[in-house]
Amino acid sequence: MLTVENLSKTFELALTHRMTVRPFDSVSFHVPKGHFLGIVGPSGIGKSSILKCIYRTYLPTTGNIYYESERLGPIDLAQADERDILLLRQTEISYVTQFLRVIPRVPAVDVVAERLLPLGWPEDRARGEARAMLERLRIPPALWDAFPATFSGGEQQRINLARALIVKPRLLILDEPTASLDPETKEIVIGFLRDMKREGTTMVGVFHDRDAMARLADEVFDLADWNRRRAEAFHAYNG
Amino acid sequence: MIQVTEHAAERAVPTWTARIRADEKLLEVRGLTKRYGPGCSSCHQPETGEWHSSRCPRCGTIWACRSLDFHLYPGEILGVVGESGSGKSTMVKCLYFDEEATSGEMTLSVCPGDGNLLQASSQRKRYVRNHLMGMVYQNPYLGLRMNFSSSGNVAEKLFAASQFHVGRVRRRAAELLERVEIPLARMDEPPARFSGGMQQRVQISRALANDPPILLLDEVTTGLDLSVQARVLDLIRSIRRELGVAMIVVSHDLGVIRMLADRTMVMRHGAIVEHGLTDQILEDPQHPYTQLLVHSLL
Repeated sequence: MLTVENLSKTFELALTHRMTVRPFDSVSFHVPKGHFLGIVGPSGIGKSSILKCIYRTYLPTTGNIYYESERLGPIDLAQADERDILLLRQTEISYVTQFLRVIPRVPAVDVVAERLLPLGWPEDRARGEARAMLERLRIPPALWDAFPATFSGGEQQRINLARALIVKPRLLILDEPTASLDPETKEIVIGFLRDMKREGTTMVGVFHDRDAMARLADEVFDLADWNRRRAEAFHAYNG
Repeated sequence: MIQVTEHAAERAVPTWTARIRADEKLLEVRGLTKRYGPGCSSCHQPETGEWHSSRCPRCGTIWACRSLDFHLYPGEILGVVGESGSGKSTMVKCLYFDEEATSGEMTLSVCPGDGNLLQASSQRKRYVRNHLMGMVYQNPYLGLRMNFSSSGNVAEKLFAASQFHVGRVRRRAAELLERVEIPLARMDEPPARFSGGMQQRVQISRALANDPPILLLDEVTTGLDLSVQARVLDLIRSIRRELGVAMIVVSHDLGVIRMLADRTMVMRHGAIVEHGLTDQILEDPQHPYTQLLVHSLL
């Protein structure tokens, strides 16, 4: 479903002085359909950067990200046309972070329902679906018509999840989706993600929470270990 | 919410709608150049290289737009950012024929027979302005007749598109003003009596009068207070969603661009220095100038 080959990212910053940052180099992995690949490693090693490259918020410097799209067929997300990326984000690929950034003064239910409108849902049905989703994620009904900017961190995170999950994505990219959730809500989210996986959603994610990771991940990609093995192979080859 | 009334059926469906294809570029611009001054041998090929300003150091010519290439797909929002004087407003004014481009090409998929519209007859340009594009200016005094009634401002646009049935024109004006949340009781008041946010909304309804496939928005929320700004942004998004209008949104405010634009291009000294998906421009800017801009964000 998703095959990453020799993916590297280099940031060239030219602010006060020239600076090059390379969070990760030549990374390869494969995620079969309906599997969850967890990326682990210490902070700052570039886990989130890999996720952002897959979503194309970051432009990959080298490498390929092959994805089997339902609408577009096999496509290299690293090279794909911006139009295609926008279409995939609307219909097939969702991305969840801990941070919510939405237009101010729009009620929570509309922030979630909005994702269904480009897919042709009538407004009232989209709102109904959004309410069901908010209920499932245990957002108190009193908040449905309030503005998410006023919500707590955990509530905002669930609005983010609701926005990502309501479109039933084929590929779900998760960056610490349970970071600020209380244990009960975390259980709900994990159960939800497991259901989605069973229904065939492919997932790539970063969790600091080892327990959540163990219960969701089919495979684990250890970025620190990968870097070490590459370095060793490089030294062995060059004597 | 747009009210689908029995009267809606009275309006003729614009002829271009059948010609819009989602996968075909609606607007394509190539080599758009706007120059103020004669130019000289050292600046006659201004598209090459990085400049330190849009002014030629030798002859003093201002190159407000230097060979701009870009396109717009149906229903998409293209953001244009850049500091004051980067040429972004001149660019949209050239597209709307408020300014005459020095050179370049503009084609619209909905009128393929016209070829380069920048060279079209003034009659064809008028058709494009009245039927195919709507413009909303930063300064409402440029887009509205402040002492006419608001409904009259909208009606003027309908008359320009040869709709002369007074009853229908009035109903359509009411429908448009209602869409932008101007209370019907106030539709005959002149915009001069309205707040800044309301004036922008009247401008938007006027620009939408003839269902154009393209809307040009030049710094529409600049100068509005934050709560009013949020409502105008939400209005713009719902218009895109409901009417499928493609838009070019010019703003120096990256927050506005983030909320609205699918793709964004960054202008500096009259040239496009970078373009890409909006989130990519904001989080992984490639050009040093864009990096500076993004890192200046509060």
